Amino acid sequence: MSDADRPMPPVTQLGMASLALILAGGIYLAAHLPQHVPLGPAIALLAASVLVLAVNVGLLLRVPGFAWTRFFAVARWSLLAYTIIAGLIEYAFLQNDVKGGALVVLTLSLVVFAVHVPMLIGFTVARYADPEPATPASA
Amino acid sequence: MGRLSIPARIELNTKLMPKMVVIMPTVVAATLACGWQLGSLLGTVQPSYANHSWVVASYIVVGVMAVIALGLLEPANIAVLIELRKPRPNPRVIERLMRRFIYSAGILGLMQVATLVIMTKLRAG
Repeated sequence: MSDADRPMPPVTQLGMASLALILAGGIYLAAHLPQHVPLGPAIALLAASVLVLAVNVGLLLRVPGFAWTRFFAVARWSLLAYTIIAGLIEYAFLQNDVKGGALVVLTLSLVVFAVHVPMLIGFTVARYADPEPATPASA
Repeated sequence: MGRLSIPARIELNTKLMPKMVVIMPTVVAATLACGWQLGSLLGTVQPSYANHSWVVASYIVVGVMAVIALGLLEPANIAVLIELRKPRPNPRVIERLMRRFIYSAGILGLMQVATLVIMTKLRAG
């Protein structure tokens, strides 16, 4: 079986779903700011996004022979880039006097965003890399 | 792109993809932040703005495009670049990844039309 045909869990689809949940929460908050906004729906969307992220990580950890070296080689640089981007967006929130619970929810959303996009980039590259051999301890 | 010959596609990918890796996330982040700042300055992001529902619609359009760009196209972009750098790139892998751009073109085109409609509505009142 070639690298292009190896069955993989739906990491990309789940990643996009998680991003969509975060953005939905952000849109909900942005539609209400700067007025007071009930945080319940935003927190629920954030929690759902974190849950999808956790499921995604769990599914990825169970892929046999996944090219983790390649994954981390790509993901760590992507993580650096998206941490900078998330920092810039956070700065924009602070400049616009976003405070309190809304700021906490938006900040946590940015954390999920900054983790998930590099994970998707690393996965998309690593899924087509040569599978890594099993270590002697796990063989 | 689907109608290009294989050498032409390789040429296009080799020249276009490195630029898109830099341009795509930069433009996404910059336009999001700048758009919000402009909206705050003009007062159009305030819930009391008369066309606030259209502004929220623009948030949704941008959100859809951001999910597709960051979740689907950006990873494919980088994966294609890395595959092209291998001593023997696998054309099936490149073809499969580039298909994402073709499939998402329809949705992105629709979002662009929606953007035009919203911009026109906000300008016309």
